[in-house]
Amino acid sequence: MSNNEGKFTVRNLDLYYSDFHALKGINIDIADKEVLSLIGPSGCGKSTFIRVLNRMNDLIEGCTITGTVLLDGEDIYKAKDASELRSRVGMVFQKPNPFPMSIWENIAYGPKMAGLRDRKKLNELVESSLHKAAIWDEVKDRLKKSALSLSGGQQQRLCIARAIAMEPEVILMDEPTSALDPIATKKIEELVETLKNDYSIVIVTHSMNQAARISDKTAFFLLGEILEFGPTARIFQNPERKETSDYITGRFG
Amino acid sequence: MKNTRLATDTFFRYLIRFVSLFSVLALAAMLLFVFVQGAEPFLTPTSDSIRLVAQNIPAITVNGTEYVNHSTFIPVDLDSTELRLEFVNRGQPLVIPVQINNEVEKVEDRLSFPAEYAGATTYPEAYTWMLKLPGTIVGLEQSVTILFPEPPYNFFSFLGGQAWRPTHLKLYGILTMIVATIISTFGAVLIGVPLALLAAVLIGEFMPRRLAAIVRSGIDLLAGIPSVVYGFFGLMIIVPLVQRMFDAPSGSSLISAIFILSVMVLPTIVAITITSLQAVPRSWREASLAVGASKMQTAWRVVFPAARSGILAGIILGVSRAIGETMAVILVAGNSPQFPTAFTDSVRTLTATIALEMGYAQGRHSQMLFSVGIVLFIMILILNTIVLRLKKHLTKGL
Ligand SMILES: Nc1ncnc2c1ncn2[C@@H]1O[C@H](COP(=O)(O)OP(=O)(O)OP(=O)(O)O)[C@@H](O)[C@H]1O
Ligand SMILES: [Mg+2]
Repeated sequence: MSNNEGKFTVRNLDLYYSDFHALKGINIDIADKEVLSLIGPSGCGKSTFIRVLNRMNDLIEGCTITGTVLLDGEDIYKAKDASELRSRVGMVFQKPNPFPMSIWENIAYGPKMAGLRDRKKLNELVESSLHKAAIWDEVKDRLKKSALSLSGGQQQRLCIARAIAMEPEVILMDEPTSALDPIATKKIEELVETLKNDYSIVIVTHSMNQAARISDKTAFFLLGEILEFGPTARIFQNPERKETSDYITGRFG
Repeated sequence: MKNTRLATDTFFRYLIRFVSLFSVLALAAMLLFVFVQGAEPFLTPTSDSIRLVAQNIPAITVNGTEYVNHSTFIPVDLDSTELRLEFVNRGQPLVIPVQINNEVEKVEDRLSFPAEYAGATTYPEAYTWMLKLPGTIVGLEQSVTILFPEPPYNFFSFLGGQAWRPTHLKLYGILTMIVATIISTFGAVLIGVPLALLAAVLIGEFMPRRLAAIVRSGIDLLAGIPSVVYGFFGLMIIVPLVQRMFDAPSGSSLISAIFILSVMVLPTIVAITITSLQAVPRSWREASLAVGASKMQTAWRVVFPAARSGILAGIILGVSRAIGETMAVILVAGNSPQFPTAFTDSVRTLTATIALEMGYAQGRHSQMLFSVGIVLFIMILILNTIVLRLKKHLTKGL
């Protein structure tokens, strides 16, 4: 077993919410500069898994984790403080959640909290992040306006820009388009296409089309286990397990 | 079926109308009463006649009219030029003619007594002359008090006056009390608010949930403790402590009032702040943590500002409590109506004045206490307006 196969190496991961066994024996490698999509019926543990990767579950009382999760060969659960990890592994949530601050403040927040004070550098960072998230043209004249005045799709791209501003290595997205209309969804999908040149992306989605369109690898979750994991094309065209094909073709889930 | 529902609906509709109308009217009547009482000293003289009070004189004849066992004021026409008092003193019939000269500018000189009684004036500059005569038994002296109507009180002498001597000198200056109220409230806010906010963030954001719930119920309990209990605590603990700490002649002082008030505003502000912190959506906390911010940064930079409108409401309630607090302050502040020159000076607040004097105040004095109440009311109104403005300004981004 080599630790350098990819960005994340997950081995024998088990997760319990108090006594509920939510993830069972997860093993997966997430490669660098690739899009991995996680699919599976509701409640199967996709969100739980993605939150393991940036230790978001630390906040939940009674949540215990066993097994190893390595990022670039280092155990992410060894450090006491998760801040460092989270600045390397960004996250975009299902519902757009910009802070109740100005657009500029939203993007600059993370770097500021990490200690960046230089106004000029912050300005540059805000602009480049908004560019990368393909929203600069829409907001460049209203950076001082409240981020809550943006549309849902714009807010979600702002949240992506906020994650990008930390210059992360991995971006986790938990159903980032489920609250958006088709046009906003398309924009985000295009964005993911370009972002994968620079970042590893893990995306949870309920849309088979979306998974097929944008991801390189796909993992199919069922009842807390990864039932099948492989290149997206193979999973969709030639699934090994019957449950996978049933789910993909919409027979359950 | 349908009809009964209609009937109950109608019943409740009328009940609601009746109750709200009643409460509005009751409130309006109360306000009107207070404002009429409070405004009167500045608009009308205390009476439209000269008034006499005779003490220990069973029968007195004033300008030819005899009053027997008269226990209230004896009115005398303002235009009279002479007051002729006839009564029996130690078995001897007495006739005392008093000249009234209304044209004289100085109040003190308006009455002139016969030479042998000339020294018997008490506070002529406060429109009061008291003529005292020895009685049959020592201590049971006779007296006749002549009260001139006081002209309407100057509003600015009220607000800006430094002397509050209501009984004898008829001076009603409340500036010292306004200052004491402002300083004690401000001091309490300065100490209490930061403490309360720190405590609220600690309890709401950092304590394990179960412990926080226990602490929270303790705080709710503290908020419900009657203020006299706080005052008693202050009297027994804070006052002696202050006396020893500052080596002051007495611990009843401005600083004791500030300390007790800062303790008293804590529970309200903490409870409301915790509630508004908890109302901040989880998603903002997660968003902040997800970009690598620490829990501390998240609490102060995201959660706290997002809850500011509720926090401000809590602070308003706390400040209003500090301004309006009476009982506890009376017990620890010493209650001398003077300008504090040091934190260990005794002070008297507006509310303390009302509570201490309402029991025996009469006439203009009593009305002046209503005026003090109105001043308090207006101070709170101004404060709330400022805070509301501030709130609007602060919550523009939300
Ligand atoms: N904080 C929690 N405490 C206890 N159980 C939880 C908690 N969060 C999730 N679970 C449980 O863990 C299981 C997996 O939840 P998870 O949110 O990961 O599902 P999911 O695959 O993301 O579903 P969906 O597609 O609906 O978002 C579910 O059965 C859920 O009830
Ligand atoms: Mg989910």
